Amino acid sequence: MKTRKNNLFKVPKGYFDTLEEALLQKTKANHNAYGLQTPKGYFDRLEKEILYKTQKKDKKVDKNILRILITSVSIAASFLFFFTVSSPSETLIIENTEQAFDDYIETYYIEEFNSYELLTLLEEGEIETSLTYNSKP
Amino acid sequence: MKQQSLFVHALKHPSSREKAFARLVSEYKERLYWHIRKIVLDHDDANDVVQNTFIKVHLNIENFKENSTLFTWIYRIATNEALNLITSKAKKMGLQNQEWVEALTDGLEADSYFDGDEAALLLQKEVARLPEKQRIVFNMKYFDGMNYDAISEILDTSVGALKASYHHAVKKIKTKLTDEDPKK
Repeated sequence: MKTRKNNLFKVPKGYFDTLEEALLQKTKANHNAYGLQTPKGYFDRLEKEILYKTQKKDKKVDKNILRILITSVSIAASFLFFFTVSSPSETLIIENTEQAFDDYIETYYIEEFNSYELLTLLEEGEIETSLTYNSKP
Repeated sequence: MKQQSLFVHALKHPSSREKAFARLVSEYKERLYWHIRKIVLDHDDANDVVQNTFIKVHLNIENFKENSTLFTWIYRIATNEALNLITSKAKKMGLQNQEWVEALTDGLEADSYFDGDEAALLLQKEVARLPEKQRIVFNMKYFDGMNYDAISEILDTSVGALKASYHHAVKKIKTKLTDEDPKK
C-alpha cells in the first residue's frame, strides 16, 4: 500500500513491523469470543484453588502411603508374633510335658520299682543285654 | 522441545514439582478455561472441568511419555473431561449430547456470565447446532486460532478429516446466518 507524500501523520519507528504481532497477540488472548464472562478475579482464585487442591492431594497420598505402610507392618508383625511366639510355645509346652514325665518316671516312679518290675518294662533284647552286662561286673 | 523436556522433568521431580506446577497453572489456566467453557458453556461446569483437568495432569504427569507436546496432552485431557461432563449431564436429563448443548444455549440470555450481543448469541446458537466434533474443531480453529496439526494431535484425528469438518462447519454457519439475516 502506497502512502501519500503529503501525509502529515507519523508513526513510531518500526510500528508496522510489530503491529501484526501485537494484533495477533491481542486476538489470541481474546478467547472469549462468544460474550461468555467469568466472575471478577476468577482466574486468580482458580489458580489458588487448583494449587491448594493438588497440595492437599499430595498430602493425602503421603498419608495413604504411610497408612498402608503402618498396616502392612502391623500385619507382618502380627504374623511374626503368631508364628514365632504362639506355635513354638505349644511345642515347648509339649516338650516340657514329655520331659517332666520322663523326669518323673526316672526320679520317682522307677525308684519305687523292684528289679522284677523293672525287668517287665524292658524288651527281651534289652533284658539279655542287661543280664549279660550284669553277669560281667 | 528440549525446554519442554526440562520443564516436564521439573514437573516429575518431587523437589521441583510444586514450583513447576504453579508455573504450568499460571500459564495455561486461562486458555484451558476458555477452551473448556466453549465446549460446556456453563461457567460452573467449566470451573469443575478445568480444576479436574489440572488435578489429572498433576496426578498423571509421571505417565506422560512426551510422545506429544505437553500443551496437546493437557488439551486432550481437558477436551475429554469436558465431553465426559456433557455426556453425563445429558444422560441424567435423558437427552443426547447435542440436545443438552442446544438447551444450554437457549438459556444463555439469562446466564449472568453472558454479556454477548444479539450477533454473538446467534453465532453461539448456530455453533451449538453443529455435530460435536465439528463444534469443537470450529471453536479450536476459528476462535483459538490453533493450527490443524495441533488440533489433530489433541483430537486424535487426521488433518484431512479436520479440514473437512471445519469446512462443513463454516459452510453450515454461513448458510444459517445469512438465512436468518433480516436485511438479506
